[in-house]
This record gives sequence, C-alpha cells and structure tokens, in this order.
Amino acid sequence: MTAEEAAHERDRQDTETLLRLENVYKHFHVRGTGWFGRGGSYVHAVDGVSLDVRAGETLGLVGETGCGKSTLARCVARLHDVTDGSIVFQGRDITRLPARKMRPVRQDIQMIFQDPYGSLNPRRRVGSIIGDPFAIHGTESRRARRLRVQELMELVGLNPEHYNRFPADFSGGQRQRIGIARALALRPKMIICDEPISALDVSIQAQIINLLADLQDELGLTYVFIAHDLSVVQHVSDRIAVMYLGQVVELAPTDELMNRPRHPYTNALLSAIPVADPDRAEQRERVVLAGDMPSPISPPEGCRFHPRCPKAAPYCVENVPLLEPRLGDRDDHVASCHFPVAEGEDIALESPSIDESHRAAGAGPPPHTEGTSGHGHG
Amino acid sequence: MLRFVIRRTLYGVLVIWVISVVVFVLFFVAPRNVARKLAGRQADMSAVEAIREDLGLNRPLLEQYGDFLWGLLQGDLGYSYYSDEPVTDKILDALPISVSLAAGAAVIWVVLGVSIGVLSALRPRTIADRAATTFALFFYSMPTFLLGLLLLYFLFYQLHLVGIDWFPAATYVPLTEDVGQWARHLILPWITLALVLTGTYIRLTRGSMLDALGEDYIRTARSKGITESRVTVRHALRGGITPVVTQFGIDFGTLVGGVLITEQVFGLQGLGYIAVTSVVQGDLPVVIGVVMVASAFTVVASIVVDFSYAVLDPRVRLT
Amino acid sequence: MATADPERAGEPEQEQDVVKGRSPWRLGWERLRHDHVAMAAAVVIVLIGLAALLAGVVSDLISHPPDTQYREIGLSPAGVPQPPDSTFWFGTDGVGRDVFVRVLYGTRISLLVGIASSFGAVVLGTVIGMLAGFYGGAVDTLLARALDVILSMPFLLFGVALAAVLGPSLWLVVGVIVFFTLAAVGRIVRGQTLSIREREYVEAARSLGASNRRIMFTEILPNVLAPVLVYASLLVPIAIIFSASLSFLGLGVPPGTPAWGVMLREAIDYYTVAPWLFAFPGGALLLTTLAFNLLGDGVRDALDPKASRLGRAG
Repeated sequence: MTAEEAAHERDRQDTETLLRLENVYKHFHVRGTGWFGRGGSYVHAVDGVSLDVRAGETLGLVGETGCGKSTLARCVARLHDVTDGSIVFQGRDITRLPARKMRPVRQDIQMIFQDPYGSLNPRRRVGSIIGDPFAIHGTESRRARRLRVQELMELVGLNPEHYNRFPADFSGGQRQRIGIARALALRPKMIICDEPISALDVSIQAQIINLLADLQDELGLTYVFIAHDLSVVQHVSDRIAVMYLGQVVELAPTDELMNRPRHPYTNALLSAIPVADPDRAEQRERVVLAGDMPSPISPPEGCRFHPRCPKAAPYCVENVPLLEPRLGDRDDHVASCHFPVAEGEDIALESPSIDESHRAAGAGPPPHTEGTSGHGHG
Repeated sequence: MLRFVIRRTLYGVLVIWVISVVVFVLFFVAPRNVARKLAGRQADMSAVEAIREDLGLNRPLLEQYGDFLWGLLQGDLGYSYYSDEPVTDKILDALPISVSLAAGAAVIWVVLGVSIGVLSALRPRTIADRAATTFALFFYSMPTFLLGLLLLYFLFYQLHLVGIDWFPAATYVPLTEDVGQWARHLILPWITLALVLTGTYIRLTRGSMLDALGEDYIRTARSKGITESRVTVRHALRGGITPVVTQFGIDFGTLVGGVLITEQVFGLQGLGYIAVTSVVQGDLPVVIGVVMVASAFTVVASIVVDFSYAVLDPRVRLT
Repeated sequence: MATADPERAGEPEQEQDVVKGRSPWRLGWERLRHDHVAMAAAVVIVLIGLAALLAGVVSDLISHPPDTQYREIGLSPAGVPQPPDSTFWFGTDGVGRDVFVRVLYGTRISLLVGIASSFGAVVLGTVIGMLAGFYGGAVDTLLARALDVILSMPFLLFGVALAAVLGPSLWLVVGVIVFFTLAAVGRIVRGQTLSIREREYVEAARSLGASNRRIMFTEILPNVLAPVLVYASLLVPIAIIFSASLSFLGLGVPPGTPAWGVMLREAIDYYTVAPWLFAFPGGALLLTTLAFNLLGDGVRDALDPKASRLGRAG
C-alpha cells in the first residue's frame, strides 16, 4: 500500500477529518555572507508539525511572533512549498500538487490575512477585488459576477453600493470585511484566518469575531484561527494548538487547555491574558519567561523550550519530549513536556535547575514521566 | 571591507569584459563595409579584398576577438586605420584635454549646484528658492550644444566684435605650459558644461536636503540646541549628500571618457572629439579604443561611488 | 447565504455610480489640474503638437514647401541668408529655405522621437524589470546584470558609434535612446516589483489560484505604473535633447531633414552673419524641453512626490 492509499484508508475511518498535516517541515534558506552566498543556513520555521483539523470546527493556533504559525498557514494554503511532510485535504494529498491541479483545491481552502491595509490592492476597486475569485476560476459570467459580489458584500455587512470604491475609502474593519467577502466567494470548506483581528481596534475586533462566528454557523465553515495570544482564541476555538519555535507543544480542546495547561509555555501564555476581575487578577502570579525566543536558525537541543522554562532540568537539555497525553490526560490532550504542570502548581515560583555544569553531565529521566526515550521528534 | 572591494572590482572587470564583447560584435561583425569605405567609392573588389586582408578582417571572428582581447589586456588598442598612429598614443594625447574640461567644470557645477541647492532647501518656497528652481529647470532643459553656441555667440563673437577678447575659443593650452592660459581657454567650455549639469545638482541637493531636514534626527539635533548652521552642515548635509555623490560619480566618470558635444562645439580635441571624428571617418580601432576607455572610466566611477557610499552612509551593508 | 434583493438586481447602473470611489489616478489628475505651471506647460505642449500636426497645412497655406530653395528671393545677391521679414517670418537658411516652415516640420521629428522612445523604453523597461523582480533567482540575476552593463556604457558615445556603424536614421536614434534608457526604467520597476511581490494582496491573489501572469498584470503593474509614468514624462525631453545632439553631431537624423538638431548644425557656418538660423530652431527646442520638464515635474508631484530625481550628462 502506498503512502497515499494509506492516507485514504485512514480518512475513510475518520471521515470528520478535513485537513491532516503529517510531519510538516518548512525550512527557509538564508543566504550566507561567504563568496557567492555560500555558507548559508536554514531557518527552521516549521519543524515537524502534525495536526488534524475536523470538519466544522475551529482550531486555534497560538504562539509568539516568529513561532512559525503563519508559515504553517501559508504551507497549508500552498503559498509555500513544504520542505518535508504531507498535507492531506479531504483525503487527498495536496502537498505537491502542481499549480494547475491545485487550482480547484484552492476553491476549498481560503485565507483571511492579518493586515487589512496590505491585503487589498490599493489601486483596484473593491468590487473587482471581491470578484477576483470568480475571474480567476471563471465560475460566473461577467454580469452574474457583479450580483454575486454585491450579495457577498451584503453578507459580510458592507453596503453593496460601495462596489466601485477603492480600499482607501474604507476603515480597517470594513477592509477586513472585504477580505472576508473575497475569501467566501468560492464557498470554501475551510478558511485560514491569519491573525484576522490583531491589526484592528479593540472595538472593531468583536464585530469581526462575531461576523466570523455567524458565517461559520450559516455556511458550515471550518476555521484555522491564528493568533499570538490566547485571549481571543479561547472564545472562538473548539480546540487549541500552542506552537513554539516551529513545533506544536500542546494541543487540547479549549476548556481542557484552559483548565489544565500542561506545558509551562501554555501556562505562561495563559497567565498573560488580562483578567477583568481585580480580585482574581490579584491572586494570579504572572509567569515571566526568561530571555527571548531563541533563533529558529539553530533551535536549542533537547526540549526547545528549556532555555526559557522555569521548570527546566538537566534532562530537558538532552531529551526531546514527545507530544502525548501527560499526567493521565485524555487522548485528545497532548503536550510535549518532561515535567508537565500539575493542577494547582504555581510555576511562577519555580526556577530552573540547570546551569552550565549540568548541561554537560546530563541526568536520568525524571521520576514521574512515563519513561519517554525522547529521541527524534514526533 | 576588503572582500567587498575585491568582489566589487571583479564585478567591474566582468562588466568591462561584457562591454568588450558587445563592442566587438557591434564593430567587427555588424559592418561589412569598412574596407569598402576605406578603399573609396570607385575601388574594385580586389582593392577592397586587399584592405580586408591588410586589416585582418577576413580572419575567423573568434580569432579576431582573441587578438582584440589580448591586445586589450596588454593595453594595446591597435593602430588607427587612417594615421597608422597607435590608438593608445592618440588617446593619451586627448585624455588631458577631456580631464581638464571635466575636472574644471566639475568644480564649478558642484560648488554652484550644492550651495544653491542647500540655500534653497533652507528657505523653501521663498522667492530665492523659486528663482533657484527656475534657474535649475532652465539649464536642465537646455541642450548642451545650444548653450555652447549661445556662449560662443555672445561671450566670444560679440565681445570680439567690440574688441574684447577675454574668452578665446577653439584652442587648448596644456596645463603644464601656462596655467593662466590653460584656464582662460577653457573657461567657456567649463561654463557650458557646468551650467547644463548644475540644474541636476541643484534639484538633487535641494530634494535630498529637504528630505534630510525632515528626518527625526535633525529635529533631535535642533532640540539639543545645536546651532542652525551646524545642524545644516554636520547633520543634514551629511545625510543628504549621498545621492549627490552617486550622481557626481556617474557624471564625472562619463565625462572623463569624452565630453562629446562640448568638445565638438569648442573644437577641443579631447576624447569625445576624436571619437566623433573617427566615427565619421570609419576609423574603427580609434572608436573602439575610446569606447573601451570611456566604459572603463564609467565602471571605475561606479565602483568608487559604491565605496564612498559605504563610507558616507553607515546604513549601507557591505556584502 | 443572503439572497440578493430582487429590486436591487434590476436597478440601473447610475445608482451605484453615485458612490463610485475616486481612483488614485483620478486624485493625481485633480492635483495636477490645480498646478498652474504644469497646466501652462501642458497648453504649450498641446500647441507644439498642433504645430506638428498642422505643419503641412501651414506650409501649403503660405505655399513654402520645407525643402524648396528660394535662391532668388531667399538669398542676398552675395548668397547670404535673408533675415526675418514678411515673406520669410523666421528668415531663410544657407540655401534659401524657409526657416519658419522648417522649424514647424522640426516639431514633428522632436515629438516623434521624444514620445516614441520614451514609450518604447517604458514598455521594455517595465517588462524586463517586472520579470526580473517577480521571478527573482537566475532570471533576476541575468536581467539585473544586463541592466547594469547597459548603465555602465557611455550613453552618448555608444549612440554616436552605433549611428556610424548602422548609418544615420530616425528609427536608429529612437532605438538607441530606448536601449540606453530602458535600463533606468527597468531598475525602478524591478525595485518596486521586489517590494510589491511581498505584499499580502499578492499572497491573497496567489491563494485564490491566480496565475503568475494575472498577478503581474492585475496586482503588480497598476502599482508600478505611477513611478514609471513619472519617469516617462521626464524621459521625453531627455530623448528630444539626445536626438537633437546626435543630429547636431551629424550622426542622428539624416542631413537635410527639417529637424532642429540638423538645422542648428547647418547654422554653425553662418552664425556670424545669420544668428536667426540658430535662434529659431534653438528657441523651439528649448521651449519644447522646458514645457515637457515643467509638465513632468507637475506629474511627479501629483502622482509620486517621492520619486527620484533625474540626472543627465552632457
């Protein structure tokens, strides 16, 4: 059985899966400064990500800037070619489909971009921008196109009479609606929302979130929702994947993740969410991570999070943790940490037990893990 | 830095090589009528053949190119078809005239262009600024030969008529012979060339100074209480001068390689003059020689510009 | 999905055109319209264009064909050209031709060379720059290096040499100007394309499945057009000056043609006795380049206030 047939087989069993990523790697070559650009290095933007997206759900993808979440999104939309791994959409391997064969698939996978100013061509009328999908796929006649575009504008809450205006005539929120209308034009199955609201005013953010939620109900859409913090994602997502340095470090249903975050990084992200209730805010200790995110050109050995982790131990330096259920969690809650955070544990009070001497020595496996060997990632 | 220098130089050599191929193709492959032209209109075929033989034009192209390149590498540019003089000698004779012309004019246009540009940037939208802008646009729009003819008519001919011969024309006195006479004979060509280029420099300086004066670091310098003249000279001019330096390098490099029109108008036998003459005569080795030398100057100038760019503007990364 | 309002579907188009946005081009035009200097220059250019169109008509009207030599009435008994009078408004030249008619005919050549060569340079330069910037990699290296080489060649000298090799002709002059100025256009467009290529709207088009060609024409081209147009308008006077200079050197338009450069060359022999021979064609030439430069400056301010300034060598 070839790999593709195997993938088909799996999908027949699990019909809900709309998108499956298997071991996706994306490395960017950086030109060296040597003669003729030799001696270049690679940015490990996405480094072995496996994820399933189920039909009709919203999967939140969270991580700091530079963690590879946007790159991952662009790999799924086939804006980048992946370095390794496979992308299976509706049971079909689309990883290396040539542009011509990819075109029909693009009707089903659409994207909403972060920057409402950058994602609309300033020199084109919005009617023509929203009608682009029809023009590209030749699906509607010219006459019908205009009607369809105006329907779409109405659907996303724009005045259809503004058909002939330019992007500069609209506000940020309205522009994002234009972007949404464009993404909806071909009635896609899945929409990748790449930080769709982070460039908007707070007052507008809720409107766009609500619009996206309404559209999901109305049209049965599947979302991959990308954000750099948990505060927005927790409200819209069914499940959340947390990314760090090109890898998924924790994946769980939203409630599960919010209540029982296992990875110290998830804990840190959670503690950064502002809390409205001052009493609760008072009780909470903010987890402050040490240092900056390491360069994705040479990610740290062992657990990638160890240089910043408050719980890091010598074991973490040498052993790569697997993404699997920890501390007796359900199968759908996985985390990659040797020393997962237990409920009630306050990691803000902990400090790492590694220094230079430990680094060299290495240590035995921690007592309370299930003896992961931890070599070769995921 | 050293690596940058080496790399940039190697690239310059490559460009010159490509130009040599272009020149060769243009002049040796394209015209089949050089020998015919040299032989004269009434010449029979055998005379034409004899000349082709004599000049080596009947040999395989690659062989001709090999010779051409080999000569080039040794600094040997061949002999003039007409005077049998080595092309190198002809060029060396003409070079001082072109250099004198370009250098003298450069002093005038840089001083005039930059100072007027700075002054009008410091007082934008005043009458002085408008006058400067108009002056710049006027001379920018002026064809060189037209200005040359005008100066000749008014400053040479009309003055000559009333018995004033301040500005002699159409002769060159070497610098080594008599500095005063050298300058006096060059003054009209200098003014011509300088005025035509000044327009560009006023516009360029004014524009980049205005940009620089609007930058944050200038406001910071002002807020620190640094005097206005110091702000202008130390900060804005340094930031705004880079495009001027670039333009200067390119212009100067091109001009040293022959100021065709000005030399033609004033009858100065510099590189541009002999180029035009040889072109009209069909004297290929001389044309090619001048074109190669001029190209080399342009390439060298662009390398120097890149270096000075790096020195002036620390933001430029040397890779 | 919301259904379209049936009433709206049948609505006439004017209704929606009421809220038509003003395009960036239109905004630029409106700025230009309020620039008095530029508009005056435009009027002058229109007049020059009319002169070019009507040269033949005027010549017929006063029945002075451009190439007829009036040796009897146009030259003094000693063979000296006649100064301007009521018969020959701009005087006569060395062989007794009517300078006024020839200056009129000269507008044709100048406008033709100026517009044709800047059009050619813009089209070729835009195509090359866009291909280089869009595809990057080896294509870019090759094209960008080729442009570098062109920019390293002494413009005028090569023009002169080429004219000698291929023989003087109007189209050769145009070809030479196109060849040497397309590199500058190509550089501008390449730089612009490089930055526009990374914009999100290009990614958006790609994610919709747009072909490379569609992306280049509908997403990138409209955005590089403004600086290119500015450059093109400033290129016209450069081309006019260049072609006049070549003609002046005897290597541009064939001798005898009623072109300003040729007339000025012919005027040199008479400049002590007949200054009108260079005053009129020279004045026409200067007026034309001034008008184009003033209009070009206006276009730049209206469309692209930050566009780079041009240089020129003589």
